[in-house]
Amino acid sequence: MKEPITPREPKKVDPEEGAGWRLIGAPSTGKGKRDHRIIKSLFLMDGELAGQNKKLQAKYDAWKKLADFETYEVKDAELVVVAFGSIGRIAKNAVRSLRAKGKKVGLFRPKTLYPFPEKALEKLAKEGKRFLTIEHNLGQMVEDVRLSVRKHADSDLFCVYPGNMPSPDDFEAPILRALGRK
Amino acid sequence: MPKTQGAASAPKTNQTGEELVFTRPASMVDRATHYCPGCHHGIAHRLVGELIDELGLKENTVAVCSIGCSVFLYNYIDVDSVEAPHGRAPAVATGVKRARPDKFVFTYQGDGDLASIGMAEIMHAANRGERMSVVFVNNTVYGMTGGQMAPTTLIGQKTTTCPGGRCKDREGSPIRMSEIIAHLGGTAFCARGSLDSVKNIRQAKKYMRQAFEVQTKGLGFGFVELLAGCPTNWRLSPLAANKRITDEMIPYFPLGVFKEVEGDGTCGSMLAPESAPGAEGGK
Repeated sequence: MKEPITPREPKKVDPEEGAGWRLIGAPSTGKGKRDHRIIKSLFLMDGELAGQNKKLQAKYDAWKKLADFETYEVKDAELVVVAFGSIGRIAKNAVRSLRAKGKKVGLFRPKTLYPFPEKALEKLAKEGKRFLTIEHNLGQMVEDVRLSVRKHADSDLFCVYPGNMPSPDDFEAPILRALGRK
Repeated sequence: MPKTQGAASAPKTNQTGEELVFTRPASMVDRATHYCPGCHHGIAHRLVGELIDELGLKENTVAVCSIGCSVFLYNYIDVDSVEAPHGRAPAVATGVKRARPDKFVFTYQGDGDLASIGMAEIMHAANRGERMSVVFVNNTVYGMTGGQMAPTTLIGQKTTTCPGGRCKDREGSPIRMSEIIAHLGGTAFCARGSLDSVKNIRQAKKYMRQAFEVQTKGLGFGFVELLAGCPTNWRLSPLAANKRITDEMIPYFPLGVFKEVEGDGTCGSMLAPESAPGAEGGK
């Protein structure tokens, strides 16, 4: 299977970027006079590390808005397959082929696992959808899926042992099983 | 007193009119260090500060501090500094220097950092001839973490992880870094000094100056190893620790210049270590 790629122009380097923190030598006299700068991650003084952790937490909170995902045929789906990466791509083919057979299944493919698109998934759960997580491991993302939908639904799990690359056909039976389960 | 002992901008007299003949270098911060009594980092820091003053590099320097007690160099030296992950100071310094070849870039590393987890980084940086200077402080032990065995720990030396003493058959021989670095193609200057006596400290400073100058002249990689004491983890008094350097370390780690390229950048011959107290014992 070959994937399309979208080329993009590399960003230009801004020579003034980081003017507030970059290390280029600290002038001790004249117009540019400033204290020496230290870029570090070691904070041993009392309270210093807690302060750093608070800053980091604010950063993690801020990047929650970067959570990204793709949905496919979820609008009237009864069962939403959740899968990411190459398995997400293969699951999409399985969903497409089941749709052609009239089965009400859809796909939710997280593009970012961290931050995890939990709000979008919860919204689908609120709408009454059921979930099947398919993974190329023995169950890792399923924990995030279950946490995201926990107030409204649960998720079934189908695992493919890493080392074998499955085909879309391999997913049809487990998807139909989950769809038939009430 | 030679001028080099004081800061360029130091006042000549104090408030009571007494003549000041000794003060901190201008590129050092006015702050007491956290180092243990008898630790040689204070001396090594000061030599770095004096040289940065004397070579006029203060405003053009980026220091790369590595993990270990010496990471706090950046609290005591008044130049822009970056903290590298354990052992990776030469890799970080490579990035800094290649991004800004006009800056003076040096790393300051201990033996637990440079000779163990950072062995790959230091050897490849030297082999590539990165235009950087390395101050390597060798006290044969992991200081910050509580005195564990280092690659440089001497045979028979007791540490918390070799309480019966280092054994050659079990843990291998102490690694002589200067001898290794001297054999790499990009090294322009490589020497080993010691901080155990005034005479050796003055000689060590000369080596450090050369290690700094091969960078400012664009000749290649500058490396200087400094034998230093760790009285706390050696379980010795500061004086006994100094004596241990003289009696036990220098015979195994001979002092002297191991490589020096000529001023025109052509690679000079490998030099035998200069005669030094006990130097013959290490051969």
